[in-house]
Amino acid sequence: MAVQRQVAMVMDLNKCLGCQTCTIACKTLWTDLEGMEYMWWNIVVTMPGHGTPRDWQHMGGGFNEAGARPGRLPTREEFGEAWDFNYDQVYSQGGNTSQRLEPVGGATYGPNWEEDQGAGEYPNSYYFYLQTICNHCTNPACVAACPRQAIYKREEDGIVLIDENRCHGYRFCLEACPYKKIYFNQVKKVSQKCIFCYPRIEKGVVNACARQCPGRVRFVGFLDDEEGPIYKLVKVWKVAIPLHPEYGTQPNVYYVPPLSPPRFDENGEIVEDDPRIPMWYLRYLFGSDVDDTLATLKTEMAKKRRGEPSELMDILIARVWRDMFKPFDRDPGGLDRSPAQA
Amino acid sequence: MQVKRITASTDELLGLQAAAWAQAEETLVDMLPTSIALQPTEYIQNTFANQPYGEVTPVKVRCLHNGDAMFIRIEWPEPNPSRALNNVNAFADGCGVLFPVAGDAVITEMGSVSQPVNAWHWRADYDDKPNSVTATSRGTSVRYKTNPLVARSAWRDGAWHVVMGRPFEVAEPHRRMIELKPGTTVKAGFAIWRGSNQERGGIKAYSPTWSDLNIEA
Repeated sequence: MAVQRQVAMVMDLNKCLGCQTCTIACKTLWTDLEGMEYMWWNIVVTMPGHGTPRDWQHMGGGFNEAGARPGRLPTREEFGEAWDFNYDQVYSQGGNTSQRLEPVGGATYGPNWEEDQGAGEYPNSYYFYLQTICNHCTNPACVAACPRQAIYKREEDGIVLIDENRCHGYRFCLEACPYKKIYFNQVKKVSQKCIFCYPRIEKGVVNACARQCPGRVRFVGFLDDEEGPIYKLVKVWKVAIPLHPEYGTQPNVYYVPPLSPPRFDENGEIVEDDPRIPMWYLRYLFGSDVDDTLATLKTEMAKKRRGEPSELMDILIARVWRDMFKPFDRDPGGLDRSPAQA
Repeated sequence: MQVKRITASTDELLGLQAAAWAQAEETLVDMLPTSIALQPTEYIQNTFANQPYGEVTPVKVRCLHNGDAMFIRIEWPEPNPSRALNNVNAFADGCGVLFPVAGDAVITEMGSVSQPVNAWHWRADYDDKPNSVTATSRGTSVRYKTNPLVARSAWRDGAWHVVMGRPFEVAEPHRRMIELKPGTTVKAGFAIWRGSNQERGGIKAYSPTWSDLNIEA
């Protein structure tokens, strides 16, 4: 069934401070039930890094010239467990404990495992944060892989959802998703993933991850809304581009790629036009469009510095917070939130 | 395949070691991997095109009934049993018995709208509470967790031993199930999933033809 309109999200990687407020907003709202402990429908990871699940970019899936590309299932260890901490030992024992707060039984991997580690040699070290959710793709590999039509793309807004009543837990979707943004609930024995906060979207309230973000990183709206920031960033200014476009799924989450300071040479002199985040790495993540994208950002930043107007910079600065989400700028505090009637 | 009538209680017949089972005729059912071309999605076809699956063959089947309930016992070799979905990439071993509910459904199609099929589906992580499954084509199966099926299972000596059974008379809510009656013949097919080989859904070993089950009067 053809999608009439598509909701989309743009995340400005230059503004993320890695605070994980988005992550916790999502966690407390959607994944705090049994079997969901290890799930992070939204997560922020430090790049470069192995990501979550570990080395997901090497697990296959998506599409290539031969069509659907085989993938492999990650393991629980590659996602990392939801750690239990020794709170009782540290906080409730009284006296002068020297016990540090730490995961019970140790920890071997987890989301954002390489927090702020980055890459490069001082003084040219670098890192940036990458926020990921389900990409609610236009050509979703998960939908194509499911033998039961248990995953569908909503006609009214293009949100991709799993029908848990139809899902038999086969996990072909997770194998096929090249971004590995589907999780298997071992208690319910079904696959689960980001739902783009559709119950909020339906009431005109933007996604929790976007609304809670203190850095004004996330824009949300309809991709075809020519007056909205999404359309302008993706279609007009072309500064928001998908992660790994070569995977062939046509994501509807777009990123404003990260600018970085210039490198220093061996004499400590600044090397102009040689960004610390290597261009080969950004091309690996975002494809060859990233060159033009960064060039546009630099041009418009320079205009603003000279005191000239720049529509692009005004959009990205996002002085008016609610303008980032239209038409989903309704205050959830004003909704009728009484329990659903049977 | 004879479904011999004997005098034994349901509890006895659920006992895998029960002497009663020595009275049952053992049939070896030849199995094949399901067709790669008939897998419902390109993803599954491309993924399993070069990955062996469905290689369990033959499967030993025995049937008995006691006038009130009918039991089917299935045994197949499994050197590496997988009992639980204890990891994101873990799948459990399973077996199924498929019945055409009406007419002569095509076994490879998993039935059709006019010729639905009913299955008894045991899986190693189901705690011996099998699902009753109905389907009207590949990819349409619906599982009914509330059902009159009973089962016992054991893995020993490198093989699974599973017995599933059901009363002949089933209550109205279960009318989608195959009608079973002493003195009649029904058709049945069989399937085996090897969890350690990532087998699930249509990726399985199956009997390409129906077997006749002659239920003694």
